[in-house]
Amino acid sequence: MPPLAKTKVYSITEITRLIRQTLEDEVGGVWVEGEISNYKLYTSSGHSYFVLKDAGAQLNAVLFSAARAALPAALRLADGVRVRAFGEITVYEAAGKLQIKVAKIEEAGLGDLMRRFEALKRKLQAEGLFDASRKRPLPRLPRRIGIVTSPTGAVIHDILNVLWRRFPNIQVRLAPVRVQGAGAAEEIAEAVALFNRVCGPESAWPADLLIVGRGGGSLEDLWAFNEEIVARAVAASAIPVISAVGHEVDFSLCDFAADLRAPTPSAAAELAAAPKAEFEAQIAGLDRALRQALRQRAAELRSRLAAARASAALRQPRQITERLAQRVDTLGMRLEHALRRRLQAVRQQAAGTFGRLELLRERRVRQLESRVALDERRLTQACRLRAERCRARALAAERQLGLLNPLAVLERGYSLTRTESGALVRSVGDAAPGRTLVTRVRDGAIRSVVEKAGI
Amino acid sequence: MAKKEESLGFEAALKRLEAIVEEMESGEMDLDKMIASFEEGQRLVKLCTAKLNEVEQKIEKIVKDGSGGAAVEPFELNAEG
Repeated sequence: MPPLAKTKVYSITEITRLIRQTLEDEVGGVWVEGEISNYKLYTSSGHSYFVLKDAGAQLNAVLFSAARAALPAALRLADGVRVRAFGEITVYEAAGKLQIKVAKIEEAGLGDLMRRFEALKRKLQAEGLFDASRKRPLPRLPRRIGIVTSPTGAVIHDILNVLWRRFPNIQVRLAPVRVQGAGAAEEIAEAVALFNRVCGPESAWPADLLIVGRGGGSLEDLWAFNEEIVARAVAASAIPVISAVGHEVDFSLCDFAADLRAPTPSAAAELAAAPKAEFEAQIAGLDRALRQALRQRAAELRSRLAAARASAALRQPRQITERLAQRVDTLGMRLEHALRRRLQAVRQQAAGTFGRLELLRERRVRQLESRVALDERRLTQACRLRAERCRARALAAERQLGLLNPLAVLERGYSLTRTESGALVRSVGDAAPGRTLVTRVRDGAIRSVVEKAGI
Repeated sequence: MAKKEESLGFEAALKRLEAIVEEMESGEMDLDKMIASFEEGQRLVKLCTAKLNEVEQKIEKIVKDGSGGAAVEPFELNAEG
């Protein structure tokens, strides 16, 4: 030890600062790995303080709020978590404490996990476990669905809500499992195998489909679904599997091995069950199509029948009958013609005979006529003679009659008096005074009134 | 024929129904066959509709029993949640 007088004496502040500066200069920024303990978050400042330790030593650590805010949300900072932290080694002078100011932090072993994941994925892929040809189509109408998930939490609720809203007639069996932590992978794999043992096609409750999954979480939370045992159990399942490991972006090995991958359990339920109404509409549509097809076919056959009826093949017999009919017609016509000709001949013959007859008749008539004319003349002459004779006799009689006629007396100066009523006045008594009398004389009549009778 | 249909699952029945419709719509089928197909189709429509409503909504829990088999128990959603 050098003598005190010759040596510089540092204040505590000076020496602490010197140590800090030396550390900062010589060590600077480093990556350290250790386990978190005594983790404390001061909510007022947003800074967190903890200790990083391993089996042999410990190092205080501070994570200021600005650096914390930049960390991925999935990162768990808690006691017992192994982390890798990058930061500057420094000294908190006020407390004289060596510490690391953390700028970046990530869970240790994550790189290992990812390496294991990739290696396992390559291996299973090489085995053909993920081949597209292995994927089976899902049943369109699953009526019994097995679910492998946690009995607690939102996932089972979400799945049932979606399933039953879309299709009320679905039965569900749940195999309750832990979905994270030690032993979870074994439980999941065993549940898948259990469904295949107990709910096979020949069983009383044949499952049409399995949904294997969990809700979202950190990569490590989901890790059980990346275990080989789960991937193999899912790939080996005789019952089709929908994997729904709640991570939108990353695929789990379970997803790769399943027949169908859904981003979330609710999405798995939607993929599993089409809405009942859709089926009903489809069946109704097919029913309509059936009727329509039959109607159309019937209409088509009817029109074909109509066309066939009019076709040459069926018209053939008709052509034959038509031809026959024509022949009959022709024969008929010929017959008629012949008949008419014959008739004409007969008629002509008859007419000839008739003509001769007529001639004879006319001659006879003329004979008779001339005889009648002769007779007539003779008759006329006789009549005329007789008429002359009668007339002469009539004239003589007339003359004789004239002598007897009272009116002839008038010529000789006599008159004839009658009353107005035409009665002949024969005596005085016939002419009462005041009576009008008409007196007929040779050349006319005189009207007079009786003044006095019987003079 | 009817007996064979009875044993069809929903999916098979629906597929058969679709095939029948397609065949009928494609035309060249004689009328007797067509009528037989139509009748079969009608039976399938009934069957599919019945199948849609066949199962009652239910949830159970399936767990391993001690002896390597499985026990099915009623599952109460909220009791276990």
